Amino acid sequence: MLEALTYILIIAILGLNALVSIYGIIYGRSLVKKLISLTILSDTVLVAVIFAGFYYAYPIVPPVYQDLAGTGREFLVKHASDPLPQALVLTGIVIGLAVNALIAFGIIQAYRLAKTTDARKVVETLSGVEVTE
Amino acid sequence: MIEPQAIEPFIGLVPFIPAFFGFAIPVLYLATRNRLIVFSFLLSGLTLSTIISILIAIGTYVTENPLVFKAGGWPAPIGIVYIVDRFSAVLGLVSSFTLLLIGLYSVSYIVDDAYPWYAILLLGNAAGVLGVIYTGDLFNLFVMLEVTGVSSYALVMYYRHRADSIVSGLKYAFIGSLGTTLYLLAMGLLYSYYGTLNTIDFSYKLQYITSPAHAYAFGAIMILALWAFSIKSGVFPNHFWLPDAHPAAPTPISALLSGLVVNTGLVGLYKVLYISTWSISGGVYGSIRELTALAAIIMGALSAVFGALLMFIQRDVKRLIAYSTVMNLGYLFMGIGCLTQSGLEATLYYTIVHSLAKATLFMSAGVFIKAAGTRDLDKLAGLGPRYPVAGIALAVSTLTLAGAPPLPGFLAKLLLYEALFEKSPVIAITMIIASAIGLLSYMRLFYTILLGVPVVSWKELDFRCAKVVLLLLSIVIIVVGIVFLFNPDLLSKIIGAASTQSTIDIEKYAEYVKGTLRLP
Repeated sequence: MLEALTYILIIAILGLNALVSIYGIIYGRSLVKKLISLTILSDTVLVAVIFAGFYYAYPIVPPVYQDLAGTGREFLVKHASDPLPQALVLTGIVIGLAVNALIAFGIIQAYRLAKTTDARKVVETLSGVEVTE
Repeated sequence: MIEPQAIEPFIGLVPFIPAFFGFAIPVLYLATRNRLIVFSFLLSGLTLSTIISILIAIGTYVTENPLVFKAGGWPAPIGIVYIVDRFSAVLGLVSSFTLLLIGLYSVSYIVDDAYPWYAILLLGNAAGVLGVIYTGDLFNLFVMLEVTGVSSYALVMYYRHRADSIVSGLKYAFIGSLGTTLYLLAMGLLYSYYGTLNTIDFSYKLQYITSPAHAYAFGAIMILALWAFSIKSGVFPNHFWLPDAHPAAPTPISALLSGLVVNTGLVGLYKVLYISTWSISGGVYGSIRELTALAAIIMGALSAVFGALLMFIQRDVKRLIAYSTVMNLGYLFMGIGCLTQSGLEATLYYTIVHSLAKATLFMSAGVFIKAAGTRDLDKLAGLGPRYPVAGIALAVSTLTLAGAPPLPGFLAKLLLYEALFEKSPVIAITMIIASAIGLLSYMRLFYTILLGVPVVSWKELDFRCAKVVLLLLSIVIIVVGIVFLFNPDLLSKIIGAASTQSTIDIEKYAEYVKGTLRLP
């Protein structure tokens, strides 16, 4: 009962987070807020992936340095969480860092050119500029 | 005779070599500060990966089975596996060859001080594009999509003092990373419900893991993956970033983005719809797979029509070509949604033709843009005869994209039309209508630049490398067109065999991979 409730609560919170952040990315006025929404979305998804490899177990053991003799293997499978989703999340975090740093640079550069971070004003200010190669 | 087993260890090198060369460039630049050395290093990296991709392509044709490479030696399905079938080998060969020529063109085109950054990002992009094509692991596909994505966003923002490139680069970055985040969510669902990320292992698990909950999860995975890939490919309704981002980049990068980077979404869809889900026959999974393919066809059809209509009203020459990309990716999504051998054959041939022709078109337009200093099509009138090589390349590529025989575009459109007609006449007619509207714009481009009366003064350019590239690409396009049009036997031996391997003989393919990897 408690397990089921916890699962539903976590999924509901993650879903709400995802909806709010997608709204923020699409309709946000400020470029900085758009970036923050993007980081919230990617963190939400990463938590969801961690959640995919998680299950209730007590006592919890790490998946490495275990004695596999006898019933050790069975004990490990029952009490350790799957390490692969965590590896996926580490990869996702590293990639997200690169993307966020690049977008932050782009926002700074847009601010230097247009003196504002309001997405629509940036487009308006910069739309009159003659395009040449 | 080449032994396929001898080639397999080199597969991992194809994405690794450009990445290695890319990371070595900062050191090289700091040591020498010489533009020529940096560019020759860039070109040697791309040449090396082209040579290996040629070997791999030969290797896939001497044996009937795909080539399999375990990255890092970890046992599958936990470790990353590279599976190269004929489809991906041919695409990888075309991509690495086009990348090499784009690199050579950049030697003439990129003359400002930021060239080491350009070289690093171009090599990073090459690693990503080739990795997407060769990988057999759906999570590695995500990583490679992001590698391609990050370098593409940075390359669109390459002219960092220019407003339009920063704004459209940001737009591209937001939309692109939204798409890859959704794909990551799909991978989380895939792992939690099926316990695998390997394409072939997934296809076998689909045979016996069935429950209502799994059907919902499978549907969600397919929708999220299709959405992410349509963003990456710039297909309607996710095309809106493309006509801003592609023209804002430097012209060789426009050629790279429009010719190769948009293919990543298409290849992802191929890996999801053909390689991972071939084992489904009927049932709930079957209808979900059919519906996903149908959604791809409808999105493709709308994309083709919208792209063709919007292409007609453009004044900016690079925007016009970018809308042509939206239209052509629509055709390719229609082709890949057929789920038949003829559909895949048409898609493969059309992708090759489109990559070569679109890269040529952008690069030849780049010569005129650089000469006249403007991107307005009307002001570029009559410049074709002044730069004969670029003029010939422009003529060849516009006629190819318009579908004039004996250039390869004709055969590609014919194959695609036949494949779509088998599926449904309505779709085939939509394609013909879009193609007819597109023809008007191609002819406008052709007549204005090649036969118009000059209105602006032009300047002499030192574009020796660009001339070599454009001449070579024109010859390759003409040869590809003539060889395949008058030699149907060769077409069925190369393109037909590739599509048969991934559709009709897919069971043999999967059994071989399963046996090699010792999958459960």
